[in-house]
Amino acid sequence: MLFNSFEFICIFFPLVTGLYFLLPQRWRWLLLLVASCWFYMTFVPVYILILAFTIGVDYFAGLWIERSEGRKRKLLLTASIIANVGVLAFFKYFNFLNESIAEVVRGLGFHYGVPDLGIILPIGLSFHTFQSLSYTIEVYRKHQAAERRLGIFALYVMFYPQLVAGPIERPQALLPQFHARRRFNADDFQYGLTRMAFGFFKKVVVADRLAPYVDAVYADIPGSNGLTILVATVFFAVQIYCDFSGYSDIAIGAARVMGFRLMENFRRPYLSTSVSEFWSRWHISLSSWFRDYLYIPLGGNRVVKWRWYYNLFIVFLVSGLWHGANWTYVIWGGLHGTYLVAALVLRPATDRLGRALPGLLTRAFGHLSTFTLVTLAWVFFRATTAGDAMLGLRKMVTMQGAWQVGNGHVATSMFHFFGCTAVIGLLLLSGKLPMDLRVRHPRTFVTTTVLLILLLGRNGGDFIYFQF
Amino acid sequence: MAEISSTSSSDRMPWRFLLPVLAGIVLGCAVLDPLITHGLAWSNPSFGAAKVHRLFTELHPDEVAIIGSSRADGSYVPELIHPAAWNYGIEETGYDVTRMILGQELAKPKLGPVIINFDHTFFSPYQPSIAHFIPEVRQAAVAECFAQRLHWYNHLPTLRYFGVMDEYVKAFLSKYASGTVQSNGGIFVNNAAPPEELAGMVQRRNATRHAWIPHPKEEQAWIDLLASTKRTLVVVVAPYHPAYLQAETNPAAVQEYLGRMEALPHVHVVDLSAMPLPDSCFQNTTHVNWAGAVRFSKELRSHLNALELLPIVQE
Repeated sequence: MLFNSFEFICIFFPLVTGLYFLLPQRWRWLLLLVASCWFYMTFVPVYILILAFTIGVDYFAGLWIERSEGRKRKLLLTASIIANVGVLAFFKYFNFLNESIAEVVRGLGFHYGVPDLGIILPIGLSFHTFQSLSYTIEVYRKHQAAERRLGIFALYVMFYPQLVAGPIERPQALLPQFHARRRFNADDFQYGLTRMAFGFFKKVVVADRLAPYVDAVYADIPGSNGLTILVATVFFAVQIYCDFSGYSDIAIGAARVMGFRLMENFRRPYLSTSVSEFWSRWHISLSSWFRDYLYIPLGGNRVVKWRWYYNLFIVFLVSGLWHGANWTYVIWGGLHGTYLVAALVLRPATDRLGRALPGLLTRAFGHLSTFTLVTLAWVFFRATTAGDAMLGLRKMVTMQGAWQVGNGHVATSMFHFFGCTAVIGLLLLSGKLPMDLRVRHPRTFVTTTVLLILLLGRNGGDFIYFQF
Repeated sequence: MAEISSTSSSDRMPWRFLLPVLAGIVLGCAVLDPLITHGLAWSNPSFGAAKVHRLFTELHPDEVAIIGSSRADGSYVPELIHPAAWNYGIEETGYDVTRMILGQELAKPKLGPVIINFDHTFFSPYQPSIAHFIPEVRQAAVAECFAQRLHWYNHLPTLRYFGVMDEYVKAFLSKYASGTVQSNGGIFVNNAAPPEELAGMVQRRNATRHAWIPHPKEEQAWIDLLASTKRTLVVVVAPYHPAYLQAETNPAAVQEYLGRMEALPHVHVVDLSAMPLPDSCFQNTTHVNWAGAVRFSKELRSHLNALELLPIVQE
């Protein structure tokens, strides 16, 4: 079930929210768990078994880790990590690894007989695997007590608003909320609906409007001119932001209506003045996950310089691979790692330059260069193959082809180009809203936003991040 | 783990927020719906929604209705055929929708002829945009024809237009577009396909084959519908590019079905599919442009006049 479906908006969400407040406190967790199972099973029902496996493993791992000490404790954590990462690796990376090995083996002239298993990736697998992993790690670190109630732990992994695309929560933040006794809170209700409305606006009005243009161009990079690819890439930068942050807004809002507080996932990332700042504003729940569970354990920045750079680079490479089993994602992650390492190496020089130039100019340059670098990296993220991405980049840089927008596909016509530009204009206007969306007149805001969605919205498809 | 509380002492209830919001949305929808319907959907008489509205709500006793697909829409210049002719052609329509439109036309207390454009792919499944039909969704014939594709929200003001607004805006803007000519419901593309583009289309046609696929049930139902009236029905096949006709593997099957229709006493078939036209009269291998439409419409008029099928124009 998609958030942007009438089934969710008109039936599932009001029904679950209404029942949540009507039921006595002791049954609420069960309602949420059943609703979350239903929500997940509307995609591929049988994949609920994968979730059940993850939940089972980590529930018992948590209990046993808590009771154990020393080597056994570490062994149990390792087992939990292997089980979680094993599931992820099998469903997400088997085909990728198999194809990559096959290419190498065949390239060397040998026969390769391992068949493609045609595995369909379970929706949101990377998200709930990471959320579940964070639980066992936190129990191991003694930052979190093991959850005794299996149902509550299952709900922690499966809580429907953030089940398929995050935010990736931490047990310390989310588990206590399932135990909390809560009553209806009008402020939460109002704020939740406001967040949801804005999330739907970002997804249905902006992202879904830009998607056909971007899809048409990226499906035909060889047939598109440089200017069109550039426009499509900028559109994609906006599309992916609105798609993913829109999802996060809806998730945060849907949880907030019931009084649950999920962590913020985006803080206007394209306003960053450096790539490093960008990563503190983009997909915050994932970047902080990698920081806490990979970067710091690797030594973080408390190591010799080369090792620090290595740690940074590795984290972004893994982050790229987390997004998808394709070399394009690995290159995307590698590019971001390179940006960050380069920024560290060049920091003395850029600091000197920053001090010499007026602040406004430095900031403007920071915004522009960050947006350019991030957008260039998106080419790899969006392209189907690394070859397509390289061709697209070459065409963009040399402005190859006719000096006109559009590649002949109807989705790239001037009508659609202006439509896309108009909704980006609307999005820029929304920058006037407070960052936390605490608007002065929430009723007017929600009403206007809903009417705008009805007028300008499109029947879009899945959220981009569902595939991860 | 000890239970913690994050309750609020707020005594306000959800409806304090929801009711004004819902009222605002309902009011907004009620105000916007007629604006969209009249100001956009029906703004351009050459757009399908305006044609469907005219078909279902207006009665023009002397009108000569021309119905069919985009090939009807872009090939028949009504004013060149008859002063009272009106082009009801809607793109992407096939058997189902044409049957519904013809049924509606035949239900009117009229005596004049109906011109039906017949495509060689008439019985193939087509899915016209639902945008053309949403404003008339309360009509039983529309509801029945689109039962599979209509959602409950397609019956609610403004909400019904969700996702199809682009088509209305395009239709509105096309009134002012310079690349088209409009005439009594018909909309015609001015330009011909550039020679190299048309050559590519011809090449693709030559590389593929298409055939008349039998649809016995639908074919008989269509014959039954034609037989159900005493009004004169003129079944016309508008011109195709020669490359299209050459790619057809069983043209005899098309001729056989045209013959079945012509066997009905009040049905006349005018097959101009192979009418000789230069490449400059085509926008692609299945659609003529304005120049082609003018030549075809004049030719059709002379055929219809020779057969004395058109009502006499009162001076």
